[in-house]
Amino acid sequence: MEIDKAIRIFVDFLNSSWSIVSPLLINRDYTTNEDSINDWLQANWELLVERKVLYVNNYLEVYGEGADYNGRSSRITAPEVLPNFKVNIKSINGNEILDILNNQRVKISNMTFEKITGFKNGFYILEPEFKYVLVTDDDLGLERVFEMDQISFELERY
Amino acid sequence: MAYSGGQQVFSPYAAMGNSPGMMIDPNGEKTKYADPVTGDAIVDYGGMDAVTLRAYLASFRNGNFNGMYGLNTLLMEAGGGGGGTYRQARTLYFNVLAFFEEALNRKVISSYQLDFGGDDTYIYVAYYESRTETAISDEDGDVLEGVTLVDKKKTYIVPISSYLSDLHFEHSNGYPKRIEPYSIFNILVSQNIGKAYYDENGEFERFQYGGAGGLEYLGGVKGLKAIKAAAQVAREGMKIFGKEVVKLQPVWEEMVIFKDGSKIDVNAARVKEWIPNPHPSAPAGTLQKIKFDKFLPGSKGYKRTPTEGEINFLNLFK
Repeated sequence: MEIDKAIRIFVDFLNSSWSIVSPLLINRDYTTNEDSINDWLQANWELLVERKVLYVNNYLEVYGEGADYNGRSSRITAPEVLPNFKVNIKSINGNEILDILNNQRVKISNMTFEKITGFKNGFYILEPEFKYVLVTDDDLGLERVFEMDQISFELERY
Repeated sequence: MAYSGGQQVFSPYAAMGNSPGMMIDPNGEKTKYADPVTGDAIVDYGGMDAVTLRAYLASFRNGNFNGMYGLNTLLMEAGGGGGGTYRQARTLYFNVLAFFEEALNRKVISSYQLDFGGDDTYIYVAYYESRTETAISDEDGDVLEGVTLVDKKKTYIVPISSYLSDLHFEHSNGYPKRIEPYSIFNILVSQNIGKAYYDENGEFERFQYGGAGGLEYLGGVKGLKAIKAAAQVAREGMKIFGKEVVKLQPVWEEMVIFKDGSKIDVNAARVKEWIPNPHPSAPAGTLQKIKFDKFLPGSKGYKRTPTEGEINFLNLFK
């Protein structure tokens, strides 16, 4: 499956399951709410996206901040492995697109895909409706948010 | 000069009223208090040093405790002015104030009241702990995140003595049967008190001094343990992280929270760190996870190896 399609299915899954799952992930006695949710996101990223788009022994960069369940590793399954693929983003039409977090039109270049978010009151949130793409502008060390329907996702091997 | 094998008649500190920490005798003619504030203050405030006076006045001015009642009661019940017990009691009293002020500054407690009583061998200190703790939610989702207030009255017994070895004190409410250190402040902030040792009949024997992880003998007195930990965390945290630590996250002890709102999550395997998100639309208190230049492979920059200092910091509180 193409990474773009796999991520959009993953996002559908997040939107449909969030209200059920998120209350179950908080108040754990061994970790923080944030880490608990990140563990769940990373587990599903590996099962629903990574394993759907990559052959065996190939691994994607972690989703968002990755998991914390395995200490030094940021993965859930196969915690000892390192990624050899990452997700790149592109503007669908190749033009500048609006970064709604900073209200700037920008050309996508040297940006790291972080995660899919909601957006409320001018800032990204980890709640539905998940339809925004949070990235790090590596040139400026700046967070940016784009509408997902302006973005396509591609795989890049390290 | 005492002869060999005999008992020294006068202490070498007699010239200072046997209180070299509080009094001086600069020319051999007259003993007086060291570092008095100014003129009348020597009389009004018993010669307390300037720092102590400021702490006292600030606390009293802020209305945090029943200051004058406590002071008068203490001085009266400690045997009036002038004697060694008086000075020890007064020193202890202000140490206690400093201790609670520190707890307040560290935001370990949000308010306190003190009341003092006792006689010439001990005082008791009652304080009302009003402490905030993180609350997450209930099953109905009423409170997902927030704080809950813990209001409790706690009472502690403190012997008045300058010495560690010769006090034996019993308290009827099941608190320590014997407390040797000479002030709350020194017990909780300055000293590391290790495990309590018991004899074969289960009777308390002694404390181990100098060890980490003390205060277990105060079993169940969460507030004071928290205060002690906060003071130690603050002190060691400043050395290691270079910024002021306000607390350890109470459930996950490796989460260190700094006064500037940033936090760091340290365990033996990895370190994660957050700083306040500077974006103007970020809700108050929103944090942004740091991406490290040198990071653990596969972590996308969000984890790094802990330093030796950070590991040592963790070990302090195990």
